[in-house]
Amino acid sequence: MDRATRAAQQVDDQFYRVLTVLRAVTLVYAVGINAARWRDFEHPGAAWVLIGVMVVWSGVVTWLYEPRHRATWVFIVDMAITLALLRSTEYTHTDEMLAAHTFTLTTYWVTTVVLCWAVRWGVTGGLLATAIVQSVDVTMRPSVNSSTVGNIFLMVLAAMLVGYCAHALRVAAVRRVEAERLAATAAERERLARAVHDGVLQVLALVQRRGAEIGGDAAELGRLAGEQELALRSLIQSRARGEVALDGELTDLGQALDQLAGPKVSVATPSRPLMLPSDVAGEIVDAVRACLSNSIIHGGVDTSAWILLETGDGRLVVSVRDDGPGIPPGRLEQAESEGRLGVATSIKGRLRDLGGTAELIDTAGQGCEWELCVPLEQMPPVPQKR
Amino acid sequence: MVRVMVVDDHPLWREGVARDLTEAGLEVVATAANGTEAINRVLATRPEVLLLDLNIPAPDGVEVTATLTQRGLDTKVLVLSASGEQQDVLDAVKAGASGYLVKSASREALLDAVQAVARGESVFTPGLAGLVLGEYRRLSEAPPTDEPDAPRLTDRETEVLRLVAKGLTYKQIAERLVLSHRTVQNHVQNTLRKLQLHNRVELVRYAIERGLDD
Repeated sequence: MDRATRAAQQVDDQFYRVLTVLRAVTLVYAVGINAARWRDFEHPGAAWVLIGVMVVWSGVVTWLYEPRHRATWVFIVDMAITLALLRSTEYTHTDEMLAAHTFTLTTYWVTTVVLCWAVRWGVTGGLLATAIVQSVDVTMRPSVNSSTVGNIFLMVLAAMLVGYCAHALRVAAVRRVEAERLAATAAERERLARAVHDGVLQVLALVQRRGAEIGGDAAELGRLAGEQELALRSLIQSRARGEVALDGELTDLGQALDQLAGPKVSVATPSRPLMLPSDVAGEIVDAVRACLSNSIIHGGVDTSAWILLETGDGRLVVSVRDDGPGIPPGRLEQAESEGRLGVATSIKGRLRDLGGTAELIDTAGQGCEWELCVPLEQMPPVPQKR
Repeated sequence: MVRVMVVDDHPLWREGVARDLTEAGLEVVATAANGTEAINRVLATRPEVLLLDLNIPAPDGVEVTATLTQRGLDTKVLVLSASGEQQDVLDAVKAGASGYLVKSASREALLDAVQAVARGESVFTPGLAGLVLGEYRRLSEAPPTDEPDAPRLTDRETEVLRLVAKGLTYKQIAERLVLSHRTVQNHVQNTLRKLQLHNRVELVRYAIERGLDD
């Protein structure tokens, strides 16, 4: 069992412990009430036997609600026995007592099983249990009066409240465990990042610079060191930003784009994370990758590229520029009309699928520049981390 | 001759950079390995440019920058960072740093940057431009109660900053927008200055609020 599940279960355990107390208190109340009026019963002997069953069952079911026995059948059996005891009121009580709306044999003791259902299955479970218990109660009375309605109302309130609280506390417990885990992971990563920064990155950067100055084979070494330095830096950078989405379905687009950085590729992103559904982020990164390969195809391997991520006005914009020869106006349309589906078409297609656009910007001879826009309305809200 | 001070906790790096600067004819007036040394030696030697690593033993680079700004010194801070800590770089710039360079930048790029900063210019990498754009965006989207009097970029400044973030040189930007090189430089500098001013106002406001609460 993982820590989150265990935390949720601890919340449940506490609720059932409280309900054990409630069961004991309502049991004492029921025994007391019935002891005070046992001469009024139509069948006092049977009433005492049934009260005995109630006491014994209270003990047994308390044991059954322990974490190691707690299973769905326990809740159902508890409900069945409670209903049977409740319904036996019809036998023990006189018709006058039923008509006068005196307490049932079980009195408030029936509430416990309703609340157990509420803890187990939330508001829905609580309301269902209320409906079952109250329909059994109401149908044995000749008429409905204000106190019956009042009882139903109170039980509905209690079931909803307990059902909601149990759910909310479970969610809170799971989140807390998750937050603690994230904090611990982040602290560890920061320590690692610092250690790596102090040593490896500095040396790699130095090798790169000195290598370039010495030239020859050393320049090649320097270039390799530079590549590794960048890769390591972007890794640490993303780690330091602590981007581990609470919801596994989300990805920080900024961090994803950072991974594309290289000796010839510079990436500029805002410091705030931009959390997007992972598949959307993946599509955008793939489109950017396609832009980059397009740059290399047209401009050669020495082409430099710059990626810029911006948000605002309800949309995100990723610009990808290179310093290659550029694409002459009308060139794409011509290729398309000739039936050649190139990289450009696939970039446009990907963006269209996301409800966005991909445009080639006229840069007046300053390389080739793509602007990829995606509307953000459909996206989940951005979690605030800072 | 530009007077420079180098702050880095890594001796190999510190000496290497200092040697590069000296060979290029600049005067390295001091070096320091941590924040406290850095502040003390800046006060003692008054360099024109402080070449500052952000990841140094406390007080860190951001705090050193803030302290120097508060003291109203003329020393320009050029942040040199290896691990590209985005938030730290942004914080340092808001605290008053004039520019930012990654450590793997070539010797020529480093020397150019030191000279530019000494002349009073801002040194922007595309990465830093992206951060600054993001920061203005954050300020414009924050509720007015959280960020009163938040600075705004003019359309022209946004345009220029976006082009810097897309890797264009000031010369290329000037060509594309049909502006002078100087005007481009001014626009870039204004974006930083507004952010730094706002940051100082915020600090004062914060100090006053704290003072009233005590």
